Amino acid sequence: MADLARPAHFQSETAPGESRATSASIKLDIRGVTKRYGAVTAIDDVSLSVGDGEFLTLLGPSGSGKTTLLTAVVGLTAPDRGEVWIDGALATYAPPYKRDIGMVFQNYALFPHLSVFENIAFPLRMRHRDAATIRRQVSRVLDIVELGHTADRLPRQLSGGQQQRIALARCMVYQPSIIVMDEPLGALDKRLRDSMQVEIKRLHSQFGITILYVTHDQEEALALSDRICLMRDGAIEQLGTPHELYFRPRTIFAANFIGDSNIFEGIVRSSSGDVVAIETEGGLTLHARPGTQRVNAGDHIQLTIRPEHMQIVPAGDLAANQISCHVESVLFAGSLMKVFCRTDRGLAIQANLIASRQELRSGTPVQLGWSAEDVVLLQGERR
Amino acid sequence: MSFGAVDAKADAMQPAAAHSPQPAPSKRLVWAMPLIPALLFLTIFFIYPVADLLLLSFTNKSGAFDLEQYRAVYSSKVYIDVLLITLKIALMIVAFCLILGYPVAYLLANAAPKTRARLVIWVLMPFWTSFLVRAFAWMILLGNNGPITKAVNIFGPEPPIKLIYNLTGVMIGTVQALLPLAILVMMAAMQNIDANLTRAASTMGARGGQAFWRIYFPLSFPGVAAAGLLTFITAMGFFITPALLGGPRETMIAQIILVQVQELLNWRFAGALSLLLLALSFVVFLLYDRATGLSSQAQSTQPGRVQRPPGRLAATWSASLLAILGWLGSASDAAMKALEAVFPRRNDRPGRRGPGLLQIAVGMVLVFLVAPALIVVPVSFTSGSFIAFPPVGFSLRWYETYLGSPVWVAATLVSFLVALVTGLLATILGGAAAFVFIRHEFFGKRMLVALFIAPLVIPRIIIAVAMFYLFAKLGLIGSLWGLIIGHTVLALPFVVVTVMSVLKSYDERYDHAALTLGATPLRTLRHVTLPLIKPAIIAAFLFSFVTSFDELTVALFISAGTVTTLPKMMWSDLILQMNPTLAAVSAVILIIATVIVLAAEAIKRRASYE
Ligand SMILES: Nc1ncnc2c1ncn2[C@@H]1O[C@H](COP(=O)(O)OP(=O)(O)O)[C@@H](O)[C@H]1O
Ligand SMILES: [Mg+2]
Repeated sequence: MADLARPAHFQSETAPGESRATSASIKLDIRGVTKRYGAVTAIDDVSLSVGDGEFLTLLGPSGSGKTTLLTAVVGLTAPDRGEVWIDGALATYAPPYKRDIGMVFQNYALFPHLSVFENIAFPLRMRHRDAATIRRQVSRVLDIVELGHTADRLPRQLSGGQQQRIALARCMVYQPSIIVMDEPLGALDKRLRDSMQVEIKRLHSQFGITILYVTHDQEEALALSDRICLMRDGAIEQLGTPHELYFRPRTIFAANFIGDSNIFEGIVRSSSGDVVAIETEGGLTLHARPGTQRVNAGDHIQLTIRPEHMQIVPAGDLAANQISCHVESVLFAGSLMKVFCRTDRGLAIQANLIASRQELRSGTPVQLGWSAEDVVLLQGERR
Repeated sequence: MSFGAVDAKADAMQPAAAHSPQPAPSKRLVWAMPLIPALLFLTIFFIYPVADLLLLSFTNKSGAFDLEQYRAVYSSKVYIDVLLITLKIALMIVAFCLILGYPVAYLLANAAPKTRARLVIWVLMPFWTSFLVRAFAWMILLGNNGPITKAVNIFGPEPPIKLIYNLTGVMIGTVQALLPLAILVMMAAMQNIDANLTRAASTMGARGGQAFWRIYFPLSFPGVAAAGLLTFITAMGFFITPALLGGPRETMIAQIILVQVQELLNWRFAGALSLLLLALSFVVFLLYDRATGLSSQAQSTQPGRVQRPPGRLAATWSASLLAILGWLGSASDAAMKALEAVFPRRNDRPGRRGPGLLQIAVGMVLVFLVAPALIVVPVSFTSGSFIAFPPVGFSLRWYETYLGSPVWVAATLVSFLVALVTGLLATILGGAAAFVFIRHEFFGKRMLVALFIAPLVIPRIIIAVAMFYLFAKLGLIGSLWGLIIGHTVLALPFVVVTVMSVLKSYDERYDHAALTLGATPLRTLRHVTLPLIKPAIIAAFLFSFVTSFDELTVALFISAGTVTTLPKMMWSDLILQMNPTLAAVSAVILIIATVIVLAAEAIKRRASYE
């Protein structure tokens, strides 16, 4: 390549022909980034663009490379290969203190020897702002997170939720255009987590910040994100809106990681028009609408059906898919009943039904039905 | 050296350079810079002189290769005997230290953190206070007119029991000197034993004895092994206490080396004896390692490392050991049962509280560690002209003598100055090195860390003689810098260990946070890292200070004329004749060292923001 010899520091001009990164709507562009630690490939050729003002979440199990990708973005780790572009400028090896990015850490990383005020003032002092500006800006963000009264305390004198908000404030005070957050709510209890989610969402829409968010909690990802990037073993499994990931998972992994799933394997027997018939293990014949996906008779295929798409139907119902089975156990979850069934040939099926006054006892024979649209055809395992 | 290899590896791991439009920023060794000064320092003032001395032993006067020194050792029964005596005494010391130290370490490791903090001071104080002062105290107590000797001979046995200038004296003095080391090492290992394991064993029906001998003891074994090894190696090179409390028949190898150098200037022979001492320690280490699997156990605590399976020898060992442990368990349970038959235990009442046998035994060991040295304080206030205990009257005359003597005052000032500069130098060099060790992975790291710890493990007499040889050539004998350099080599291990341990538990996310918030690496260090680890840095400085302040071995060789340290002055007086001035000087050394150690511990402990 022509620009092989260019210096490694942060560059403000763009190489010719790099239209993708200069495009106004792309804030952060990750291109083919790979990072290895010895034999472990923490992230493997990941490419991802984040739009200006977008809330994008990296979701994935622990060890899937989320933190590593995040630290490559902020400049705490140098990728082995690939590029990171920020605001249309190449920043792969720019040191973190020269990037316009704020980071909220997994356990907040508030400096224990500095007061809340000094913690928040820290980034401003590093930028040599004058004392009056510092005072004004710190109290402004303290007001935003509603913790003005804690300015003189040490971090350890705050509750977990308060520390979390101070960490946010410290990150916002110098108004970076991108904020990355690494499981920021991981250490909080459920109730606090819910209210902090609302707060983060509010800050996002209020200030138009671009947020790259990391979590292993699928509910959190679904609730907050404009788009979700599902990670697995250092690579992107699927990228899309929460809606797409939930209703159109592309792999077994995606289907299993987000929400509950019934997963079947089978062979395509016939495709008449836009409906295909699939014969599954356990001797069922299921009908699905593959839509744009091309399937041929004889294909080996995997498919998933969300338990909440299943209903108890009367015998002789017209639903495209019907099976008879008997109830094995029922988990009562308030508004929902998780009904675990088994067919005569031993296939396990889960149906999530709206709770009704009528109780389902184990052993009860039931007929489950669902429409062809609710059957999602999966791609085979990618490795 | 290893750095070339590091680089090659880094390059091999980055084939990316060919694909990326932009080369990775040059990482060439910039990260290793903080290590360089300390490494150079140790290379010049530690590795080189020691190697030089050892190599010297293989040459003759004309500089050609010759084994004449070793022939001389071999042909004279004296030296072989001394080596055997040294080995025997060292093994006896190890046995006593482990037996006396184990219960103390056990109790400390299993005490509540607050209690442990309070009690461990009683081990740390003797650990840091001078061998010399403590040997001096024993000379008073065990001397032929000393209070302990008198008490032992109260019924006038014939011939009277002698406690000094024989093996008894050497044992009492050296065991007391090395016991703190054994306790601290065992305690550190025992603190990592999960208390739930013994609890689990007792819920499965194991009685106290079985639970201890079958579960706890085997788990504590690596710590015992490490403690034994360190004590042994230190004991092998010991000369202060044996020289002052032993007789001619307890002459140890280090004393011979001392004489060869100081009186005969026979470098080659001293080099040969040093090599033998080193070789003997090394052989013992290897045998020991084969038997206990010490180094493989040490490795297994490092994450991500595959544990080397223990050798066959170790396997047979552990099988027979297990049988013995089971037997010990049954034996102690049987004893407890017999006791219970006499004093039945009641299930409807809580058990007896208050100190048990173990607590009393441990209390006695702690008194043995701390109390004897304190005798120098009352003795120093005597108004008589001789050392006596109990002291005669009360006066400050010996302090007046001390402070009125220009020689003693000069020595005190030299000691202070040397300790101060040593503290600063060692803290800077060692602290910077510790950063590199903790923050970077590189080829040969374990070896380099071992190099930094080596001055602690290699018999000090060898280091001292080697330095003497080098410094004589450099004209550093009798200079402040000679002493400072020598003491810095000895203090570096303490600094590196202290700073490494705090950095290991330091949460690097604080630094990462500072960097993302706009701080440069230097400002991160200044505003975040250093303030957070300040207590450990100060503690490292104070430990270096104390190490230098009452160091004798190196000072013995490097001091000369007006540049003489306090311990060196004391030693010279002590081998000529005991006098109460020495008690005054000892009291001053003891108090200064104690105050500094207490301060260091307090600072280290206070420092938790969490
Ligand atoms: N500094 C490191 N040294 C060695 N391995 C690492 C390091 N950081 C991460 N890894 C490895 O890289 C993989 C991805 O880790 P990480 O990015 O922390 O995942 P996540 O944040 O999704 O849990 C894991 O297998 C982890 O063990
Ligand atoms: Mg992570």
